[in-house]
Amino acid sequence: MALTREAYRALEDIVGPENISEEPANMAGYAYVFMVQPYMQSPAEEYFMPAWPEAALLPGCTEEVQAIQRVCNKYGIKSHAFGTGWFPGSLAGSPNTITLDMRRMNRIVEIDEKNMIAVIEPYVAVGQLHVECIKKGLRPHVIGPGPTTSSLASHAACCGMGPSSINTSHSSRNILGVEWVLSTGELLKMGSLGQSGEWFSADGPGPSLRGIMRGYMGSFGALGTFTRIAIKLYPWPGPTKHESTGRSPCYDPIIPERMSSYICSWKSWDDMHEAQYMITEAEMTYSGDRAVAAWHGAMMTESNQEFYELWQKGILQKNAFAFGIILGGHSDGEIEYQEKCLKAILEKTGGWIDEELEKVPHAVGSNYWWHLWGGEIIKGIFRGTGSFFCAATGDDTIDNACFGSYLGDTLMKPYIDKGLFLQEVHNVWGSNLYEQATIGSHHEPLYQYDPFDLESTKAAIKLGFDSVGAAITEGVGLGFFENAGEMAHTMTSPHAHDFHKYMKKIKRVFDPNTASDPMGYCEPE
Amino acid sequence: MAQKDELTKIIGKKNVLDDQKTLDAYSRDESFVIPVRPSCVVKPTKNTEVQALIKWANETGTPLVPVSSGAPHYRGDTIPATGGAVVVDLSKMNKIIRVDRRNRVAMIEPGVTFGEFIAALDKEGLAAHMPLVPRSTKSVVGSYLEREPITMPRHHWDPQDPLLCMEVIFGDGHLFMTGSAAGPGTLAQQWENKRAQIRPMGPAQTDFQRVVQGSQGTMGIVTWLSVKCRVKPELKKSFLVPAKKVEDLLGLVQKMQKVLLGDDCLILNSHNLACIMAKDSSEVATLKDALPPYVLFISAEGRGVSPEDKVAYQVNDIKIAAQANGLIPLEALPCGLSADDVAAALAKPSDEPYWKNKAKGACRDIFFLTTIDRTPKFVKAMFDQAESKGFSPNDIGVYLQPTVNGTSCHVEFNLNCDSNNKAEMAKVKGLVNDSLVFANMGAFFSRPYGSWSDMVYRRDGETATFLKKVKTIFDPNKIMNPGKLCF
Repeated sequence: MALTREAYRALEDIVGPENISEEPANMAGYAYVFMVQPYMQSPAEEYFMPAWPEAALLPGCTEEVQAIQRVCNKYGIKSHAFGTGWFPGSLAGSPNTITLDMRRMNRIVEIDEKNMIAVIEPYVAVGQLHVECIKKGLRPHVIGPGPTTSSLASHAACCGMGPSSINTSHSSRNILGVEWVLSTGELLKMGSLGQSGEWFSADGPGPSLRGIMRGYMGSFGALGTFTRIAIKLYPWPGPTKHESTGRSPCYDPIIPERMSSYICSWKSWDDMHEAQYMITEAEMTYSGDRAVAAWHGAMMTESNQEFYELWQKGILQKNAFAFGIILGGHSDGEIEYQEKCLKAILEKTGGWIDEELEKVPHAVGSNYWWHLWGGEIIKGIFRGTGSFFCAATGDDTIDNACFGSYLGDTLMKPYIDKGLFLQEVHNVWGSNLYEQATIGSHHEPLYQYDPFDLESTKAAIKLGFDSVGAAITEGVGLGFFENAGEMAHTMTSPHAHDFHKYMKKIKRVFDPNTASDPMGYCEPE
Repeated sequence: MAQKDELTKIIGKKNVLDDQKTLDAYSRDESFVIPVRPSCVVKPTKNTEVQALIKWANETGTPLVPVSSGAPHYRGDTIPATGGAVVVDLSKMNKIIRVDRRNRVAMIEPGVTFGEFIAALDKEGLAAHMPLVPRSTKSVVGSYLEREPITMPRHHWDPQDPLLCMEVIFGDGHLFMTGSAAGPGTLAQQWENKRAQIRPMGPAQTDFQRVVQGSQGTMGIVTWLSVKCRVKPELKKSFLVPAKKVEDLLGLVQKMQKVLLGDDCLILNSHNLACIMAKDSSEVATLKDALPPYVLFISAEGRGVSPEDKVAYQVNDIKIAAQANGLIPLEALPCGLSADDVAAALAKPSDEPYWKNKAKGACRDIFFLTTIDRTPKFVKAMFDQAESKGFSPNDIGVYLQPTVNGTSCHVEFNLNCDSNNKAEMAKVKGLVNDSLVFANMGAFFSRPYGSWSDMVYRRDGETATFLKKVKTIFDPNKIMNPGKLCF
């Protein structure tokens, strides 16, 4: 259903004719991201979301976003903000929806070095922010998808785990200020911003509206559009500029003084997780996350052929239970402490640093990049089959993550045995530890399905749902995908105090005319 | 049926109090909030009783006012704003449900005080994240729900720390668990599956706990919290850094936060430090005279596989950073006060009398958030304000607490006063109620008690509008502590 000409003209008046389009060729670009096929349970040739946006707009400022929302309310249109488009949650999910492409709002408004705060607009990419922050001895939290993704999107509206979470937390925990255009077009400046115009705290006065804005997962634009946020920055012990050698896609970093990159291995999940307890208790890493050796293999190789040859050597298999670590000290004493701790922990838990693995070209360097700004895995994980999906993830203790890993292995095995996914058992890939594991341990059992194969695609979504069911029946807990969207809520909410009922009320109260696309969140009450 | 009979049916006769002495006690506190006598005080012992109370309150339209800590109270949030309210005193719900050393977490009911909590953790090799020397009757749950700052900004990642998950009975009567505690499974099943209720976010796409925290009991009644703890250090090195002015200390504070150095990190003026460390009122003045105007207290704790090395490098780096800022960290001040003694005082609740009351018998606080670099202008403004109102600057305590890894700073002024001196109390009341001067300078009153709520919600009408919408979701009949905040 196309927009009425009256509505289109009203929107065009706001952003100007050069910043609005309803051309199908342009709309296609807003109707596809990876993972779409499993969600649609569709064959590979069905690349696109069934509901294309009616139009795409490029607002240039907060006032324009507000005006657009008022038009949406007047004409019964829904909007959906589109950041850098990593995740299906960024796509229009229902008819009569317009996409707000935020790329014109791309400024780093401020980096407050003294108070370790950055104020950013929606289209500021993680990599862009990272290089500006390290000039000031600071760094932002990054999510796994890495440097090309919107920092604002992950912090305010989407997911939030990343390779450095052990010291940079979860995106939702790093928010210090928010400028939020509600679905109604009203502008909410949260916390200190609303009271005093300062960007240092988003909680209060009284109850925190951060709790409505997002939870473990974001609202994916279903409650409005975030036009500016302030985030917390973290220490950076390295130089003001990254130096590297080599060529794309495997640049090798010159690892700075007082920093080290290691891939540590253990003989089982249990031993590795025991080590994780010691690592976090000693607060001795700059960054560290569980990424099995196949993950590292994908990062350190330049092609599938190279990965296959490496796999044939057996180096990755013998280091299946791997944990990447970056040590980084602001002083000689600090780095010496970290090195000493790592050695002691490896000794106590039977872990090792495999010399053969470290000698593989790009092994140490790709681990370094991954932890600094994520993304390093992206070239590898898509290269195998063209896409990947994720099974159930419980986020609680390290022991719980260990339990979830075994469960992931078990669930995945029948599919792997049938040749529906690329990898082998035990290659349940990523996992992050938030805040030295004091607020949880995330694990992502990832699997590479073939988007050009209907059976593999169907298997991907089936395993997704199998794993949600298993998370409930086996008690792993709720996390990640089972937490977002109406379909997942229907399965999980009855087992979690009917949280869905409150979310539906929130949607109704904050968006009375459903002027924001509910896809990825929930329909109103 | 009379109200008392109905309440007795819900929670038993001995837990329903309506004698005049009790009602008087719950009708007023140490704040400037107008006294209002409740119609009844009830003391539930379990969550099902709390849920039944809320159901009854919805049916009868009776306001409920929850309170966790023992008297004296200071903020006015536990005093009914309207007549006919029932105070729900949670002090009998005082179980330490679980202490989990491996995952550094504990689960506690609202009636647990810091003294009880510290003792239970100590047995398991853990330590609590402490606010600044809480009074002996202070509820741990109450403190964390109020977002009181802790003394270790390095471990304060988010304003909600150290609160993790909670069980709350919302104003609509629904029993709810937040974060990873939400489910699936009962708590026992979750423990069986190696979960420990440590992920605060969620469930799903709402952070329910953030809506409850800071709400002064206006959204629901919390019946347990899971809270972050830290491993009890195997060794700890503490320092006192003296300075003439606050400004002199800020470079070191910011450096420590920027490189995650040290554990405790807070600034006290001589008055507050003397009140905390003196044995009694007679000693306060003497000690205060011997102290430098401002003192930064810092510590480095050692735990894990190499605790000695952890402390050693931190001590070395702290000394280097201090030297770069023209400061000297001391193990003891020239007057003999040792850093270890201060560390010991900060690790436990206040002795009696409560340190804030030690100098003159009473105290009223002004507190808000800002950033570390802006603190000097607020300190100056406080003393200017005091002078303009004729309040003695000698009676002002200053406490500056970096929060959220140093990205913000809690500023607290403790106005020591004599509650029998009407003229002085009028001045104090004027200072507390005239906090607009700080708001106009950029202070953020994130915890608006008493008269501050009007001030902050007038300044930020949008937030008030949306909080009222939130209130309709969780407490549609407005039975939870009506008249507080903007509700």
